Formats: sequence, structure tokens, C-alpha cells
Amino acid sequence: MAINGGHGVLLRLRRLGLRPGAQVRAVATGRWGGPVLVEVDGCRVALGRGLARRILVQVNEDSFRPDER
Amino acid sequence: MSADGLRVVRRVVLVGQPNAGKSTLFNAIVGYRAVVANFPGTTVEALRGQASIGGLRAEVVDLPGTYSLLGGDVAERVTRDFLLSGEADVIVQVVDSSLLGRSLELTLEVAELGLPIVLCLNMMDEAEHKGIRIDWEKLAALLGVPVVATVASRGQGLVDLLAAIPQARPVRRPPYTADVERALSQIREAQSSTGRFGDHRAAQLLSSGAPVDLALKEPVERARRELGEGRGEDPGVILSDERHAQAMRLFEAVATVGKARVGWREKADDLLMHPVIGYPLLVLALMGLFGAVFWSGDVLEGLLSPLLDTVSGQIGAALGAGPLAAVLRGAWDGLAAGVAIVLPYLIPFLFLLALFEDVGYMPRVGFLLDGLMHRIGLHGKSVIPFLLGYGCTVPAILSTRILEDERDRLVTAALAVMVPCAGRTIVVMGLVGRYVGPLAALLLYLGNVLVIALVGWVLTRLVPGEGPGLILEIPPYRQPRLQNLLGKTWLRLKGFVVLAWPLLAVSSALLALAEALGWAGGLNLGVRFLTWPLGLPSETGVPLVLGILRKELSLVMLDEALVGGVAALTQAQMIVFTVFVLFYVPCLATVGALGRELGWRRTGLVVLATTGLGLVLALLARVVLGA
Ligand SMILES: Nc1nc2c(ncn2[C@@H]2O[C@H](COP(=O)(O)OP(=O)(O)O)[C@@H](O)[C@H]2O)c(=O)[nH]1
Ligand SMILES: [Mg+2]
Repeated sequence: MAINGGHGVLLRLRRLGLRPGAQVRAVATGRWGGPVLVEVDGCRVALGRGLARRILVQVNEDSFRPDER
Repeated sequence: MSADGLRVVRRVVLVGQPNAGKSTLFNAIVGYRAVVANFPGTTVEALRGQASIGGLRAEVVDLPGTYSLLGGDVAERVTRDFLLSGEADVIVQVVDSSLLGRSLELTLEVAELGLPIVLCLNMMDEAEHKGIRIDWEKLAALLGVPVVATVASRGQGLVDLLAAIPQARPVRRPPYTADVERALSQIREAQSSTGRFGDHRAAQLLSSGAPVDLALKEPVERARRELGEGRGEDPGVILSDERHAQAMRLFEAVATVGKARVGWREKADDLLMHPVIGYPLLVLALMGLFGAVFWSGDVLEGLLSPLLDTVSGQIGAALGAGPLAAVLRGAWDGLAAGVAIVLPYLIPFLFLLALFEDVGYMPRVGFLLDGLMHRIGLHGKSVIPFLLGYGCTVPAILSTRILEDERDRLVTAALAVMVPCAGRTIVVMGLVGRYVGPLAALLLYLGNVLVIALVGWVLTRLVPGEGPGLILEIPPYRQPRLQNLLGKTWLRLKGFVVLAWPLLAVSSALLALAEALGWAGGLNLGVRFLTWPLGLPSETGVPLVLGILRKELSLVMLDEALVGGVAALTQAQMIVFTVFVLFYVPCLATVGALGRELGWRRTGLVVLATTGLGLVLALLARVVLGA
């Protein structure tokens, strides 16, 4: 995965394990344009749609593979 | 430091990521004082307590959780500023061991302060559950600091932790890559006096630029530019990545990851956060909460009331007549009402709220409602202050500190003021719920949510600028511990007992005196401009004014002021009264908290606006009900 976004948000996401090259798994999505629940490093983070849209992931057959941009 | 290598410790601070168990540890060391709950952002200000460390009295400070020292939200800034104030002798970093790798990034960042550190590997049970085994002796050797394993919620490892604190040492920090070290030393050299925390300051400047000292502007910018150009990345990101890489190396050296166990906690989210099933379950959970409060309150009240009435009768007979007797009787009646009306609803409510918090359902509600919250211009994190608002508005306002965006904070605090707190719940349950019916009470709650949503919709359009959106960690479910549930209920109840009971007794005595002297009529007349348009009897005036002190006061005083008690009101009047109480001027404690967090001008606006809103809605209720 790779991330586009502002400086503060980027660093915050990194601390939660969301950094380029990380493996993420989408667990659930909320209704009404709600957030995406992702699992990274074995813990779960809810990300608003606006944010999640700026995170690029590459889907792989057997697992979600990192994609460095 | 003394000759045996032990440190004299006067102040220990607990630092760590949100939800790592700092407050649990703090409570175990100094006695139950801090609220503990299973979601990030429970602690938003520094809490202090005393303990005996190395045979000496020392102060222990519980700080808000933080992911870094960059100060992303107000709570994180509180922590950073406390550390930089130089008050701390020793830092205990509390780590959620099941997230060791990520926590070590914070260790390396905190290490730059140069202060002595003890690493507390908490939640060892959770790490084991995830199949993570940690060789903490090796970790201690690599970092050069004492490392202690604990399970704070069960009190395991506390003795070892206290014993390790005097042996704290600064972390032996691994060096960064050469180009980063070069940039850092460029900045360090430019700093006129290295002063305290020189390494930390240099790293902060390299990471985010913008030095206060203008003389540093040029060298900092040069260092940032050279480093950034060399790698084609932002210096802040480079530093973060460097620490991440170091942390991962440490983690791999000391931990082995085996097979995780999968139990109900991992599966529960498949239902509770399900995009379809999750919502009816949420409604069921909330209805269950209010139903249980209503039912148990009703039962308790039925048991208590006759008992207190008998005692009141006896006291009344013993005191006889005369103004002094009237005052004493008034004081007693206030206390008795405090017991009979308030406790039956308050205790079950606080207990169940604690249960919700400790299981870890609150952030899930934030997740489920994020989409809806966007409709009113906020996001799911604001749900946490709102939910806390059902307990007490003051912590709800403080908890807005977990919001990163200033405008989200402002709007959320203003809206949280209208969430019916426990005091208002007492009025709704004890008046409308009891005399009109539980359905009417439920409708009031739903109406309240609707009004808040509408006001939110308007407010976010008046205060434009959408924040960065939701980033909310969803912690695992946890088995609630009875000890914590009771401790938290008591902590919150204490505020009522020590603050409200004296107030109830004094107000009630004063009211009795005013009546004995024939002044009550005059006071009530003064508020007639409010009570008359609402179609309420003039006796409701003083109780409504007293409600400014505390919301439950207005119900208790109403009971005393009306001949025949609250039952003398018509059902429609009860509803109009309650609607007004739900919205008008927040209580004094809330006004104080708002003033501190938002400033007094905005607080004044909130007070005026909520009172106007209360008046309009109560009038509307009167018209609709034909009262
Ligand atoms: N399983 C487990 N849970 C813990 C432990 N320590 C704390 N908790 C729970 O973790 C949650 C967060 O604790 P809290 O003290 O509020 O964390 P803080 O945000 O760091 O202050 C609460 O539900 C605690 O009961 C532990 O060692 N093991
Ligand atoms: Mg805490």
C-alpha cells in the first residue's frame, strides 16, 4: 500500500502501522459512507472513507501484497 | 544518584500509547483515582497520586496516551508539555506487549529526552493470547534499561515494577543512518546552548521545522533540505521510518511470534460491526441499557421511598413547629430526596455505562455511526464524547481533547452539552418515566438525539472546514473486571455524594426558610417570565433556577416546592418541564469546563443558545400537547 496525504495525518497513520509496504486486511465497512475497518499488524483501525480513499492497496490472490509507489 | 546506583525518585510519570493500561497501573499504585476504560482517550489530563518508591514518598503522574511526542491532539500535547517541563525524574513507559514493535518506536522517541526510563511490558496476558513471546532480559540488555513484565488489571508484577523504578537508566539509543545523524548534529551545533533535551529538540526541529528561535531558521532549513533531497522524502517521514526500522530490528531480536488463539473476542466483531446486523444490535444494546436503568431504578425507588417517608414523618413529629424546625425539616427532606430519587437511577446507570466502556463497545459505536456523523459534518470519534455525555457533561467536554481538529472539537463540545447527563436522566426517569410512562421517556431521548443532529447540521455549516476524518483505533474486547466497574461507579458517584448532597440539603433548607418567611412567592415571581409562557405553575421557578447548580436539583426541589409533590403537575406540564430541563443552561460545573476548554466568549454563546433552544422546544411541546 501507499498513502497520499498531509504531513500530520501521514505520521499518525504510520504510528498505527499504516506505512508504505505494510500488509493490510479490510475487515468491514460501515454503512452510509462509513469508515473502513482495517487490520494491520494484528490490530484494528477504523479509517474514514475520505482517508481510506487516499490509501492505495494492491490486491493479491493469496494475500494483500505491499505496493510501493 | 547514590553510591549503590539507585536513584532518588521524587516524581515518576507514566507514558505510553493510548489504552496500554497506564491508568490501571496508576490506580493499582496510588489507589482508585483515574478512570479506566477500554478505548483510547480516557485520560486527557495529568493526574497525580502518591506512592512509596525506594522507601521514599514519590509522586506518580498518569499522563494522556500518546503515539508520539509530536502533539497531534490536545491530549498528546498535554503529555509532551509535561515531559518537557522537566518535572519528571523517571519515565515509566507502559507498553501494550501485544503491540511491542509499534511501542518501541515511542520508546526510541522518548529516549531522546535523555531521561531515565523503565520499560513496563504490560498486558503480557494479551501478548500470550496472540502467541507473542518476549525475551525481556534480552530487551533490557539491548536497551540498557530495566524491563518489567506486568498484567496491571490483575495486579501482577507491580512489586517488581516499583522495585525497578530507582534503577531506571537512560536508553542506550542505536544510532540513525549516517545522513540523518549528520543532519541532527548540524542542528545541534547551531543551537546556541544545548540546554536540556537537546537531542529531542534537534529531532523535533528536523522532523517538523519551524524553530521558535529565528537564528535557527536557516540551519534547520538547510539540514532539512539536504536530508530531504538526498532521499526524496519528507524529513519527518524519514525520521519516523528510521525509528520504525530500529524498533522492528529490536522486536525481531527479542520476540517470537507463534500461533494466535481465536476466541469469542475475535469473532464478536463479525456480528457487532456487521454493516447490517451491527445496527439493530446497537439499538438493542442502547434500549437494553435504558430499559435496565429504568426498571432497576423503579424497583429500588419502590423499596426506598416508604422507608424514607417513615423516617421523615418521625423527624417531622420530633421537630415540632416553628421556622427553625421548618429549616431543619427542609434540610432533611433534601437529603432524603437525594437518596430516594437520585440514587436508584444513578447507580444502575453509572454501573452499566462502566460495563459498556470496559467491554470496549464505545469505539465500535463510533465506527458504526461514522457515516451518519458525516451527515452532520462530524465524524465517528465525536461519538465518544457524546456517549460519555450520558454520564456527565464535564468529562465529555474534556474528552473532546482526543479530536485532532480544532473545529471538530468546538462543535462536538457545544453539542455534547445537550446530551442528557445522569442528572438530566434523573429528571427524565423520575418525572416523565415514572408518572407518564417509559415510552414517553424513550421518545424524549430520541427527540433529543434528533435535535442534537439538527443543531449539529446547522453548526457545522456555520463553522466551516472539514477535519481530516476518522482515525480510530478499535481495541480488542476485554473481559470487564468487577473491581474496576465498582471502582469507576464509585468514583463517579462520589462527585454526586460529596457535591450534590450538601447542595441539596442547603437549597432545600433555604427554600423551607423562604417559604416560612413568605419569600418564596417573590422569588418565583422573578422567574415568572419563564414559567408563565410554558404554562408551568409559578412554584416551578425556583427549582428551575436551582437546576443551574445541578440538574437533578430541579426535580428534587420541585418535589419540595409543590404542595402534593411533583404528582401535582399534569402529565403535559411534566413533559414541558422536562424538555426545558433537557436543554437550558448547562450546570455550573459544565460552564466551568467549557470556559476552560473553549474560552469564555464561546461558552457565553453556548449558554445563551441552549437556553433559547430549551425555551423554544418547551413552548413547542406545550403547543403540541395542548397544555
Ligand atoms: N488483559 C489485560 N487488560 C488490561 C491490562 N491492563 C489494563 N487492561 C485493560 O485495558 C484497558 C485500558 O486500560 P487503561 O488503564 O484505561 O489504559 P490507558 O489508556 O493506558 O490509561 C482497560 O479495559 C483495562 O482494564 C492487562 O495487563 N491485561
Ligand atoms: Mg488512561
